[in-house]
Amino acid sequence: MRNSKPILLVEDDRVDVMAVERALKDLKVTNPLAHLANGEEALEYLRGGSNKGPCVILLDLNTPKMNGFEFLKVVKADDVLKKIPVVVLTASKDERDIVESFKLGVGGYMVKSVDYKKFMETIRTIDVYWTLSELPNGE
Amino acid sequence: MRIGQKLVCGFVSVALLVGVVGYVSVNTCQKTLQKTIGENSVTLAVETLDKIDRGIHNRIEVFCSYCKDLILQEATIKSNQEFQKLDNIQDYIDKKDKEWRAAGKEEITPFMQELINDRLSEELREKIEFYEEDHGYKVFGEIFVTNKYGANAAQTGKTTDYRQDDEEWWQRAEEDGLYIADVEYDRSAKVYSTDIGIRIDDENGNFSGVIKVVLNIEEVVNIIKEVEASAKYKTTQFKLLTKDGKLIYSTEDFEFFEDFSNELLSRFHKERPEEHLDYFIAEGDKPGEGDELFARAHSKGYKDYQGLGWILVIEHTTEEIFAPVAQLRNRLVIISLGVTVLAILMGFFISRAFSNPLMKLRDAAIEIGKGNLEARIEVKSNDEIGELASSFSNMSGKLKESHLELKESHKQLEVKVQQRTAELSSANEKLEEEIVGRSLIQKALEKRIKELNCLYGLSKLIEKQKIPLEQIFQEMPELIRKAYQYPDVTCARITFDGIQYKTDNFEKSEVSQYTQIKVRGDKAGAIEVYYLEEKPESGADPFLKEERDLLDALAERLGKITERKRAGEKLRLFRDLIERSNDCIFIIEPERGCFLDVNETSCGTLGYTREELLDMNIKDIDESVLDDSSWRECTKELKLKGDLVIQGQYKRKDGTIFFVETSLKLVSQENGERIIAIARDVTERMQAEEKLLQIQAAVDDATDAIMITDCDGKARYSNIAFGELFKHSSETINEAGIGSIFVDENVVKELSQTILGADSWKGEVQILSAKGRQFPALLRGTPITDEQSNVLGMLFIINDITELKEAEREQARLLEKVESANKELKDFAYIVSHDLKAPLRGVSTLANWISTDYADKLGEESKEQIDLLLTRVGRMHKLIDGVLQYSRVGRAKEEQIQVNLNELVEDVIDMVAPPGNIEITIEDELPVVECGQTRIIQVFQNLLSNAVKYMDKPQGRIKIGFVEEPGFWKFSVADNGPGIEEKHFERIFRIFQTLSPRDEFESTGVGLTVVKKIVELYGGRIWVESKLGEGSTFFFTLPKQKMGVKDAKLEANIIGRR
Repeated sequence: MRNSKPILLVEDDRVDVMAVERALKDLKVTNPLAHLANGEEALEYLRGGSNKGPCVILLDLNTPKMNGFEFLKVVKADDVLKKIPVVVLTASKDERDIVESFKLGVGGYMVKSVDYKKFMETIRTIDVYWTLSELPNGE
Repeated sequence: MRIGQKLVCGFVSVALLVGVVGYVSVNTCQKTLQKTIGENSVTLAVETLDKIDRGIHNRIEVFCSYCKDLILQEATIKSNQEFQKLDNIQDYIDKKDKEWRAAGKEEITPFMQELINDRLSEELREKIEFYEEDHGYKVFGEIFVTNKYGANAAQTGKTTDYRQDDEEWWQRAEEDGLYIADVEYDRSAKVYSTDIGIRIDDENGNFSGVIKVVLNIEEVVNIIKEVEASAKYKTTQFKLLTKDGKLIYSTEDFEFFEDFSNELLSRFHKERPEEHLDYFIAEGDKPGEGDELFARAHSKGYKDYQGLGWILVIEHTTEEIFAPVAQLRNRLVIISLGVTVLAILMGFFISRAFSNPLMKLRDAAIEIGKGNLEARIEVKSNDEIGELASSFSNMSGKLKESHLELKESHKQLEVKVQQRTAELSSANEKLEEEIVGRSLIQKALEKRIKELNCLYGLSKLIEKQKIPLEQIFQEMPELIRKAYQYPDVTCARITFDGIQYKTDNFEKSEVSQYTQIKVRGDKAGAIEVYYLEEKPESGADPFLKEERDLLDALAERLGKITERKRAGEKLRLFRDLIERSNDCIFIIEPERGCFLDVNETSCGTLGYTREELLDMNIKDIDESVLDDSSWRECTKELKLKGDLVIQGQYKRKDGTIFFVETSLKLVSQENGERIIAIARDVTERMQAEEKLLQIQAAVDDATDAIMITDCDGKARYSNIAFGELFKHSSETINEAGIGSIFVDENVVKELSQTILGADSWKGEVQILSAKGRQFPALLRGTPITDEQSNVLGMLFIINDITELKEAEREQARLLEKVESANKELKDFAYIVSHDLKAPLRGVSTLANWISTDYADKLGEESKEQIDLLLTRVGRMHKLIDGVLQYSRVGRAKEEQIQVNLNELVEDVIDMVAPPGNIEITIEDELPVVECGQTRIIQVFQNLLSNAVKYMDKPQGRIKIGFVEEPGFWKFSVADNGPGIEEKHFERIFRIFQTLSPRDEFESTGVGLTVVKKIVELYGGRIWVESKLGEGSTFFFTLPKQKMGVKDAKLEANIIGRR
């Protein structure tokens, strides 16, 4: 990643969280990982002043309480939060989900692979991309 | 004209005839000769030119075959190869050409010398020398060869340029293979030459250079000279012209290239006697030399040499060629002159022998004519003229005797005339006396004529067929007045039926005459006559007896005329009535049935004229009267009853048939019995009745309940269905009326108000049946109106919609169910994609970690089990994807676009990426279809990847075929793989069905199911044909109408881009 800000992961499946953690570790990504189970908690985290704003949000679409789309709608309506790049990390290949996500201004749409090795490649790509890409500076 | 002159004329004409015959034959000879010489000359010219063309062709042939010469070929190929090595060939040639031309006229640069010394040049020079020795003159002037770039490669001497490809001969030779320039003449050397360019091709037929030869055509001139030497006539001249009419050679001294196109060639156009002849005779080109014969021919070439279009003209002076004819003519003139002179002399002598005795005869005849009957003739010859003279003398003697007899009889005639004159004058006196007596009788006659005139006038009036009675009365008084003794003072008046008709001068007076007019014995009027002046002879009856009789006769006549006219008018009126009746009226003879009379309506209705009908019989028009016997039966019945009414059909002249109702009546008349038939066309009525019956039947049997009421709602009619619907007999329901059937009585008021306002009413109502059942019904009420739109009654149609209502409710319920099921299915697909996959992914990830993290602790068996676990997870994943894909086929809406399958299938083949040993080919040109692109890709992708996946042969062949059939396209994907047993043909299209063990081929068993669903979605069909071990062919169809490209232009574009 371009800076050392934390990566925010919105994901309710524990194995998937483990997979992300393990992949980041295997890829030697040093940014801390903030993990929250759903959109509501994630918003709380983002709006809680004490936290350092994340450099990127990895978002699962199918989360309890507040799902990915609802979360995105709130984030993109917020002048401060909408500067944070969001990458969707989901199991759905449904065209409608893809279209809806990009309409809500996501920075990328990645499908979780069943195969862990492929999954790791996905995370590596995200890391490489957000290392190369410029990010909005400041808060 | 005297006999002598006539004879001389006769002889002279014979002589002239001889002269004319001679002249005509000389002329004919000359024409024949002219034709023969002309045609011979043309032939000579043709042959000469042919020889020339053949000579030139031979020379060209020499060089054409020389082009294959090895040395020549080698030299050009070598030169071409050298040039190919150059960087810029054109610059090189330009540079060399410039140097070439910069050299002096006689100067030979080393570069030129090199070319002249070349081996090929050497050989060419030898060739020139060989031909010179052989023919005795220089046949070829110079020869040089260029390579294919137009630069000189060999030359026998110095040329003006180095570059030749800008010359016409070079370009034409390259293009056409052969170029022959028109002839040139070197005046100083007296040499004719022409440039010949020939293309050189290497052994592969590729262009490798051009050879140019200057050909001396001395030979041409020699050929002509040879022909000249053998010419028959001394004055014959030859001229050889180019195709433009430029002189190349002439027998006389000439100027080379002098233009003869106007002087000579155009004369051929103007003066040839006929289009197909190539010669003519006209004044020669040199004045004073007389006429000449001109003949010409065009060069036509020889074999592949097409010739230069040269023209050879041959001229002869006519003086020479026609010399024999001229001699003949001269002799003929002398002969005819001699004959003429001889004829005149003979004529003169013969005429003298005749004319002398004849002159004497004439003189004697003149003497007798003058009255000298003593004249006689002395002729001593013994021929016919001598006999004539002696009989003339006898005749004059007899003439004298008869003259004396004539004088005597004249005197006797004069005495007789005097006697007759005396008799005539006495008869004349008697005649005059008789005429006086006759004039008295005439006066009496005139009076009688007046009376007769009056009666005649009356009869003439009556004769006029259409004259009305009134006019007769009007004209009558004037007729009467004129019939009287003193018409000027007579006046008359007729009073009839209270109306007076009188003369213009009518006035009553004392002197009158009166008589009554009686009609059928009753007094109907009177005639009065008055004299306006009293006559001088008083006392006596002023009117003559004849005048009184006349008046009585007139009164009687007028009475009778009136009776007859009135009767006739009544009859005509009656006839009119019959003729114009709407019905056909016939009078029929009872025995045979023929028409005795018919009215106009019959003629109009049946289409026959009256004359035609009167020749016809009742059975000709009445379809029910088949023959005479059926007519007899009809009359029998009629005689029994007196009258009959029959329904039947009549046939018109044009064959059409119409319905009639005929009433027959038998009447007795003086001349026997007659039948009066009155027939009425009832076709419309019959049709209307029939229609009405049909409608009635339809209404009676209709499933809808129908009721007709009057304006108050009282039932007039109700059909069977109505009775059944309300479980009432039709009597009770009719009594109760329409009002009794509604649950809500207000409805009745509302709908009768609408209908009586001439509007229709439609709506749903609650109906109460007699048994107390309530049910919903659809009611339509419409007004029944007359022609003036007055409402006469109401028509109600009632449908029981109980079942319909229930069905509607049932349908709505089912629809709701289907919708919710559909939604559930969609949700299910979503759940499958997210929720079923999530745990699967977890299992996979965890198993993966176990096998990597504990690699050292796990035994071989455990590792294998974990691997198996992972493949099963993968399979589960694919199955879920398959289900998703399958469920998405019908759901996802895809844009319909025009797809060129030829391009699309190529892309699919790339996607499938068959291994090297499998070849996929498109066998036929595929169509452009309108469809969803992803779906059609799925179809081909699944079929092709299946064929690739299961291929068991070392050399796999997969063929994509296409056939256009009526209404649809048929596609096929054929492989030479393992094939499928026939019992599995159905199974393979079912979801999750595979034929091979899963561990051998990773297959979800969804592919073909998806293909089937897509094909069926478009209205097509899919099936397989296969033979175990030999391969399978999958066929599917797509409907053309649904998927065809409508815009033909667009289709043409797409096809054009293929």
